Amino acid sequence: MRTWKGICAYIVRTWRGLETYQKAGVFILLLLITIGSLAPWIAPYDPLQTGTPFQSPSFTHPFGTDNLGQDNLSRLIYGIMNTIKIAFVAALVSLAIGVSVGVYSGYYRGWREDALMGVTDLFLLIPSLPLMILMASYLEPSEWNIVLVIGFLWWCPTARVVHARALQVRNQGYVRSALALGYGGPYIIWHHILPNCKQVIIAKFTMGVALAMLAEASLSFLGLGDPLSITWGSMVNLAYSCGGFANDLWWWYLPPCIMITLTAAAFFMVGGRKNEGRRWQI
Amino acid sequence: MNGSVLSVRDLRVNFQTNGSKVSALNGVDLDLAQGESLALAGESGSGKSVLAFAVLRLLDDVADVEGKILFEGEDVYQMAHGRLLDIRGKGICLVPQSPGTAFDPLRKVGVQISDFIRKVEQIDAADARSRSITEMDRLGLRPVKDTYENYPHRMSGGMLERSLIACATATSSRLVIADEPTKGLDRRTKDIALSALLSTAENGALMMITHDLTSAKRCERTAIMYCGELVEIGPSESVIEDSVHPYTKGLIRSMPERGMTPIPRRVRSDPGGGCRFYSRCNEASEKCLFHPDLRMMRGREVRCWNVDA
Amino acid sequence: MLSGRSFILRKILRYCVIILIVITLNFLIPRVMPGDPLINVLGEDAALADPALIAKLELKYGLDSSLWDQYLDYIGALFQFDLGYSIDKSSQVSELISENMCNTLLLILPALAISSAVSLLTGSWCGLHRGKFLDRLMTPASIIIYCMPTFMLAMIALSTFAFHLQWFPLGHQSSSGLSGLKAFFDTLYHLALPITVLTIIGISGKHLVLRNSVMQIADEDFILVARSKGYNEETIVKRHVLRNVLPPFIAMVALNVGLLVEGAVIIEIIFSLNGMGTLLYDAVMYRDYPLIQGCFLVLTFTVLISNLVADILYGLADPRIRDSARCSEEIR
Repeated sequence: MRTWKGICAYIVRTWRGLETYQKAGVFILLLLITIGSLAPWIAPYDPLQTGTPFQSPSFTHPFGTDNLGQDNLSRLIYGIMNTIKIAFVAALVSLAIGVSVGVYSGYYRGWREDALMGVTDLFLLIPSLPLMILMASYLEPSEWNIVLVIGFLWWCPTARVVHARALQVRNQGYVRSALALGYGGPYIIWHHILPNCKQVIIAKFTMGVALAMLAEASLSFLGLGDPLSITWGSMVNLAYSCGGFANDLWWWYLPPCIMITLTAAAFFMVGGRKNEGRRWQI
Repeated sequence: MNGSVLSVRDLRVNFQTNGSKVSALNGVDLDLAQGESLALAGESGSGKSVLAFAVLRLLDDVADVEGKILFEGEDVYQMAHGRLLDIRGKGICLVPQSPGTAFDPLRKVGVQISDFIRKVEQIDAADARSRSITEMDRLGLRPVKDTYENYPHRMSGGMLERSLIACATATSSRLVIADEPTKGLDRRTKDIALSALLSTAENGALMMITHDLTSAKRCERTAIMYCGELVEIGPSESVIEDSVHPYTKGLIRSMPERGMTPIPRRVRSDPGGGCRFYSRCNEASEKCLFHPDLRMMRGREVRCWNVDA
Repeated sequence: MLSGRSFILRKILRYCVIILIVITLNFLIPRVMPGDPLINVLGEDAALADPALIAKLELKYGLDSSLWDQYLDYIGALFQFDLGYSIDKSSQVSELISENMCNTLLLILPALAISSAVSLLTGSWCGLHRGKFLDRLMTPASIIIYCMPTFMLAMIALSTFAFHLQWFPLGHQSSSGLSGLKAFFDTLYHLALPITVLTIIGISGKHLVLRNSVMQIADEDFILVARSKGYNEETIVKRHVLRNVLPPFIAMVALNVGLLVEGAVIIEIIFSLNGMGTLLYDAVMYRDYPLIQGCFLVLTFTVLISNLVADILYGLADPRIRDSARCSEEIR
């Protein structure tokens, strides 16, 4: 009971501390996730149930049907969880790698720092989409391979930012005194460095989800996604490769595009911070 | 007043922060005559720097400024923008605090000094260059040619501070306002810098903001500021050597060579209606629950009830 | 200056290491990925192609020798611009790429130039005039466009302005049989829409960052000091604000090249223009691995070279960077 109260109080406190646009982002995401997790009850059809292909919007099929006669609205709704899940896990993978590299090199310094940050700088410079295409083209098209490709290529910006923050924290008095008191590396990383990197980690993570979503869409659009899993990117790919775009069936390809934009923007909004300092403080 | 360079009348400055009002200056009156040098001393946060910026009308959009500031008889807050740009630099020259961030990091220090001299004196580039080199040399920035060509990030805080002073001393500004010009300087360079600054007062006036009462003593007059008010103002000799206000006495006791005893307790954020120093004063009496005015006594003005003529 | 030359040499050396790593990646990925290495190196069509041709190619790339020998051979071949052979297209990969790269550059370079100029203008204007109408319009707009997948913007533009309004032609680089000035205007007419889309993408990537940089610089102490010295706003903006925003701007433009390359790939596919994008799309469709590798290598080199140029310019524009061992990555 008590912990529940604590958690509720924490949520209320955090919510009050948010900017208006962050609240809007959280609201959009919660709405989407609710709809997505209730997909089997909300969606009018089974997303795999076939029927008359290429139907125009009507009361029975608000967004028409695709080339196999599957209902576009139902696929859109079923796609919510898939798309967010892939982006979320990919961002989590890249976050885990980036934070470990950043914190480790920021805390231990010396040759480890030089080596790890050197590698990070290298990967930062290599354009991600071509490398992703190269890697993805060799792997069986599946959800998890997309997750791995995005996750393994996108840890560098996180590592850089976390590294810079960790360096800052490491030079603070309280970390020095903890070192002087004989606390070891793991203790200091867990109790001092990680809590102080929380802000940048959260910001990088939400941004990472948004970018992973866009990358997944691009890869799926190029036909490197899993054709069997329903994501918004693969819906656009289907519409594009099966004539939905050439025949101007906008109700087919536009809704998933808009959903990607909306969700990515919502993640950006949640992670965004205002950085307008006031000049005069006495 | 005739021959007055700067006169400040009942200056009040308030900052609005998130709905609450913070007052930085509370009715400051100040006069600087031609050829005069004035030291302005007080703890951090007493409003010294705000006064400097207010005189240059640089607080405009972030603060409410009330009262009058006259520069050679002209109201700084009434004049046209073009005239104001003319007065800044040419009429009033500010030597800002924090030399580390006061220079543009991408331009050579010497070039920035020359640019300023050119802007104020309307002379050509070669003249401005030779003039700034002379001035940098006078302030002990040697080897002067290398220093001239150097970028700010390669120079130490003390060198940058002296370069800032060089801007003021190379031009013939009517009023120099120096904000802690001796911070970070060693004894020898501090002496050079002070002499250079005091020489500007010969054909104008100098207002020097400082924490260092030893430097303050070299100015003709000294004003002590507390919580946005002047509490004691008069000839430096009498204010520093024979101070009467409890706050001034406290400041003197906190000097390193006089025992380094700090003034007890911290500044109260909301001092109420009485004497602003009441809560920290060791001579306070019930009279101090009312706000004292500046009174002339023993050759200076003092804001205290407990000082007898 | 003191360290100008050694600074440039250090940069070039660094990029040589990166290029070597990219080449190594490109060599290793096909050989360690799951699947038949023969197909991974030669492409999926190798299974269907003439055995004599396969035997010849196998011999040429030494696929039966040790990995180290293959690596040396591979680097040796790269120095002769030999990027392999595409069985699917029955052509040398280097030829295919050199034909298509020009078209892609024709798209990227104008977009880069225009978007940099425009975002420099809008970014600094909005940074100096916070909360004005243009700022309120541009800032959310650039966030939303940044969140749009590239293909969405391209599809909307094509369907609105080419399908429905018919202001611009549908697809293709140019009409055939024209020459001289006419051909130039014809190409311009055909490329106007894709370049516009790419420019908008470029602006959305740069505007916000530039606005924040300008805001940050306008709040610096030395700007206030310049004001106290009586410089007028125009001088302050020109001499101090824009001069100080130049180094981060250079770094941003270089970073933006990557975004534009990715955007160009997708835009070419949708506008059915010849170029690296369509080449890559075909290659991915048929799993034509030599071609995918070649495209990856060339696109990566483009981005790396633009970054090298930017890094050197950055150092020239900012003496602090020249003096310090760390480089422009700090601001990324």
